[in-house]
Amino acid sequence: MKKYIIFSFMAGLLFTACNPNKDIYDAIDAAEKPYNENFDIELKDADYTSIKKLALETAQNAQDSTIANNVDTYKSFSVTRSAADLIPAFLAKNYIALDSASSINVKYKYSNNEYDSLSIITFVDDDYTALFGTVDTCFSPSFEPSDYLGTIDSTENYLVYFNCRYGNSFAEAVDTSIVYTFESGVWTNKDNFYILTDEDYESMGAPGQYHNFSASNPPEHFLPVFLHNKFPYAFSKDLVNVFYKYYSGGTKTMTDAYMFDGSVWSNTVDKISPFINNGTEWVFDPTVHYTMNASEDYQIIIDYVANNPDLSGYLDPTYPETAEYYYGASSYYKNFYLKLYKRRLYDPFGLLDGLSDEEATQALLERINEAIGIFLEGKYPDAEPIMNGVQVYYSITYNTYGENSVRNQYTVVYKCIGTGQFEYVSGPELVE
Amino acid sequence: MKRDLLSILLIFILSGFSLSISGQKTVTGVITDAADNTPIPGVTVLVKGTTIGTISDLDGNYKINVPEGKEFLVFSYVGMKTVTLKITEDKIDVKMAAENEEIAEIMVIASFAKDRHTPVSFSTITPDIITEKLGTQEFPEILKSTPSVYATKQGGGYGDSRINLRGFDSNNIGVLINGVPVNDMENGKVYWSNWAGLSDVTKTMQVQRGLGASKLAISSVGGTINIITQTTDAKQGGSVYIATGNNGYSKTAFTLSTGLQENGWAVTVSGSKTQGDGYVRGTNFKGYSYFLNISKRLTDNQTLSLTAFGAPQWHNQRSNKHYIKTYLDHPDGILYNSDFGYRNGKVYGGGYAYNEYHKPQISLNHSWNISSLTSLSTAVYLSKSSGGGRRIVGAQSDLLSFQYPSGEPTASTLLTPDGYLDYDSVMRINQESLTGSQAVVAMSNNSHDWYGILSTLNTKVGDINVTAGIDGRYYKGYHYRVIDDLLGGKYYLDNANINRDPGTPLYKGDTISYYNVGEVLWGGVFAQGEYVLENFSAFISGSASNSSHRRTDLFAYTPEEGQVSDWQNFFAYSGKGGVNYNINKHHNVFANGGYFTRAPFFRYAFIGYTNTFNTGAKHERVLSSELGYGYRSTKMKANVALYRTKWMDKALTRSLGQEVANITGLDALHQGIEAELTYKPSTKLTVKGMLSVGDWTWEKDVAAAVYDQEQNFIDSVFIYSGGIHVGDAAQTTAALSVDAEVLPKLTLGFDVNYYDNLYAYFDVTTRVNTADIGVDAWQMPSYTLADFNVKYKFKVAGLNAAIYGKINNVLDTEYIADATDGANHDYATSPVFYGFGRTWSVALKIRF
Repeated sequence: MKKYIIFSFMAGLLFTACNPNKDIYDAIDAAEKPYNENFDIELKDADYTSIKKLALETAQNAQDSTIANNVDTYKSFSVTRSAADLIPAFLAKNYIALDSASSINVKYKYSNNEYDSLSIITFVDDDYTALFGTVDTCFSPSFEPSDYLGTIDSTENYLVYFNCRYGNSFAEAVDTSIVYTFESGVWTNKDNFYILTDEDYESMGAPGQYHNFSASNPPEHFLPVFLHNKFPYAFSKDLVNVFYKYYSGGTKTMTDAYMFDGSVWSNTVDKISPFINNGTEWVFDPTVHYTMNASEDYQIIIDYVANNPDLSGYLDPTYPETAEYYYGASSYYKNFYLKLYKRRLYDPFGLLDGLSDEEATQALLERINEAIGIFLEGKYPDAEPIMNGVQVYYSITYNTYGENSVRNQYTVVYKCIGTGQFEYVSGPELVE
Repeated sequence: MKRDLLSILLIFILSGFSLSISGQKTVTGVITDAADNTPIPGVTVLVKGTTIGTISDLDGNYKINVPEGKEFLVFSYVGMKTVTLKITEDKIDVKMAAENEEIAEIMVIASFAKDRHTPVSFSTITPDIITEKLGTQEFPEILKSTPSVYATKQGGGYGDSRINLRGFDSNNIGVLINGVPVNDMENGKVYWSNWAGLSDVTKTMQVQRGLGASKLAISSVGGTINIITQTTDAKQGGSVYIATGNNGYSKTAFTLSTGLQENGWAVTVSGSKTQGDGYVRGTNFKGYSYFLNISKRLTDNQTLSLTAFGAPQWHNQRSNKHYIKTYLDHPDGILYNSDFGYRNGKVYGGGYAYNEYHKPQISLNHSWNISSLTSLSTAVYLSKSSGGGRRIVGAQSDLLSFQYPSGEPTASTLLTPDGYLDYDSVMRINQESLTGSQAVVAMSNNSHDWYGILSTLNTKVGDINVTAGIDGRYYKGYHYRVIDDLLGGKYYLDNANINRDPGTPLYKGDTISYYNVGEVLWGGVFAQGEYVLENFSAFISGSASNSSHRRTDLFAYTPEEGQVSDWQNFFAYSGKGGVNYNINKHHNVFANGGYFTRAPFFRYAFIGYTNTFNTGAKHERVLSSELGYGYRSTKMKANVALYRTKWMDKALTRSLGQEVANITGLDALHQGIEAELTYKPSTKLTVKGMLSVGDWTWEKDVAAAVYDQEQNFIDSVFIYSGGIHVGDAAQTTAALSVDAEVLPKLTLGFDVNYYDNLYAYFDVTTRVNTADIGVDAWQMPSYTLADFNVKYKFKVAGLNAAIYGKINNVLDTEYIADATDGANHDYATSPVFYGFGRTWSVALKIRF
């Protein structure tokens, strides 16, 4: 009897023996096949239509719908039609198998036109009567159209194409078209506008017949040449908002922004933005990741030290061209040298005196943060702070060689706060 | 009165009501040791021809009911000659003598511990346990149900197992065969593949945990494994043994004894052959073992015996661990072995995946009872071994290699479409090469000769048993690599030999890469004093030894420079003591403690692979203490022990530029509690339980500043070892086993083993990254395994026979037995070896 009890007790014990590795196998299955890839795509016209459809599905209000439709109308993104907001849905639908850590560089057209909608206000006799009390009057320097506009409801970035009689007095007034935008709470008269005149249409040939563009005479075909002739001394990055008439079952006034890139005028530029899949969704990530593995990278820092009369005492006496001991950069070994023996030895300012080894190492690592700022200014003098409406960060990884001959990598993050200007954010963090 | 009724009732139950009430008689008596008249508890008393049995109590008393018509009682006890007596009276006292004086002598030389006398923790394994429980397992695995043991098969090749005791690996465990230490003289390790035939010839085995009872200067940091082989049996006869098992396993063995002849001669010979395909893919093997013992009683007081044994074998191996995911993704699963390919249709192991070795050991033992108080035992022994392991060598050895330790292929590893090593493609590359073979197969040979003497004098001075002796040995180990197969090329070029033109074309049989010889000359003296009273025994022992090391290098030095180093001497000593107090016939307590120093192993005594002395090489030191308690009754035996072992100054050297620094302060503390229980309510049922809980950690960080000869600071060395758990052995183990004779002649056994608190293997001297401070190696999943065995005794043609069946890992549990810690200390970066799934064997043994 006793033996049967004992046998059955042991049998019970064995149920705990079933699968000791269960947790590990579950974890492997969960992480299984995170299928990821990295590649580039370029959006075609049909893709903008798809993006419009996807955006309409999630539109919350009339403004969202307008934005969605404009993507398809203009086949481009802009400051109001944010690529960062609109492209992720497209990537999620088209690349459904891609998983975490995948990244796609999307090339798309970007329009500098900040104004998607245009309000055309034409003052007719009834309007003058309603506003001034009489028909025989005009807008003048004492009562600008902007003063009138200030009395009506308006929204930010609102563009008004104002047709009225304007002059110093009623006798001198002529019919004028003036463009105003509502910016920062104030109606302003924009000056980088150009309103095409009848002569302008005629000078372009075919559009001159009806003084408008159309599907058979698209503005993108004629305006680049026109603008080139009109503004032959343009500088690169000059921007003009052109107002023109467009016929499509009726004549509308439309506007588009053209930018000069140094050789041609165009209404869109090609932009490439990186999108990353973070495991759940696609996000626009303009962060620049760079690892300092080239001697040129460290040379930037060494040159800075060499050219700085205060710090030039820190150059390596034997190899002054390729190593310095203020930040520890070595362009020969492509790393920062952290062994305390030498750093303490070559320390004319005695900055490490009195510090324990641990404190000294910490101080040296903090000093490298400064060096990274110098490196960024040298490597990315044209860096822009905002891309697609998103703040751009720079995540820089560098190599160190330190005590016990241990080699490590650390990452420091900087923010771009102006063209070629950077500000420290966080780090250093040891790379595992 | 009540007790008698109870006994009768018990016997009724045990014998299954097959007795008739009338015609019985009760026999009683006292059983004593013929040598000293002390009572012997635990002697099995059987009525011959029945299953009726009993066990003597603590005073040696027994009482047994004998049915009518039965005439003989059989008295048996381990280590003693079985006595069969005709029942002539109701009271029969029995004197039992040691089975074999020689066994008794060897047990003394080997310092076999005695129950309730020797103050050490020990577990004894008798040969029937080995026959019933070993099955196809590796020899060290027989100890897995004893406390603080972690034994695994590692890669799974024949003989490739390892055992850790109290968290210490084999170079910190002393292994003695017949009293002679067999740890490698250069690095202290024990290669169980040398002793693959040991299970066939083991008479008895004892593992003494901690300092142990041995008086020799052996490094028992974790403990001592004491193996006694068969010597002459007093009985004439023998046995044959045939076994078969999973994956083509087959074993045949025989033993023949002449028994003790009248002219004083006795000869025993045994041999076996074992072969199989191996459980893991590509691990087929074949091994023989032989054993010879010739004994002559010279006079009434002197015997001389010659023992020779060896186990030549070859086996294909698995040496690369792999990530768990690699096994899961591979069609072979946990049987996956990356390390072999096929040549001529046969499995051909690649680098580190084939081993052949033969290590015969011959010893001549002389035992002399000089007087009733004094005896002298001397063993003179020699061993000449040869063999080695296969390596892939050459400029493009990566073609047939894997990365270490990840087990991933190198950038150029060539595999066939089925995933085997692609020897054919490598042969083509070698054939087309204009500079000879780019990758060849070579054997890294480690042959050695050793000669030694071990002599022990036992005498009594006043009340004190005094033992003193000497232990001397000369060892010479040859380490060289020999081309075995050019793999299709015309010749091979090797520039490792400074005395040979690097342009010399080399062929099969030529030596390449290295050729060095290590010599160790060892001399030690030891002494022990033991004071024994009726209930109390105490001992103090000490040893001192000198080991001299010399290195010869035929490749790295010219004869003019001098290829032979000088002798480098190291002195080491040890001291230990213990007391045992028998409180009464049931309880005893003991305590022991000791300290010993250990001379640096060969590779630390010399710098790198050169003949230059590492003059600052430090001794390791061990301080150990233990407290124990024992309980004995007729039905139950329990032991509890608390131990604390501190291992100090683990060898740590760093090369810094020109200097070699020897750094002290790397200490480990292994402490814990061990408990064992054996419950035997009758001769038919045995229940055993074991629990050991260890706390084994590296003690503190090492921070050392290193200076050169002019006392200039060079560098600092930090090892962040503080508080890290010792890896590679389960710190908590438990076992439960039940053996029951369910039917007459049919015994079933069931063993369950539990392993927990197991951290992956890591080299503590590489813990230099501050990010890893206080971070343990990967903690592997705990696991439980169950084994089952069956024994059926029967008679065939009048001869005693038995069938043994064994199933290991009955539930086919998939578990990880070994792992190497990875960079992230997790399962994803730590490569592993899985343990075996379900395996089985069936054996038949016939005695004649």
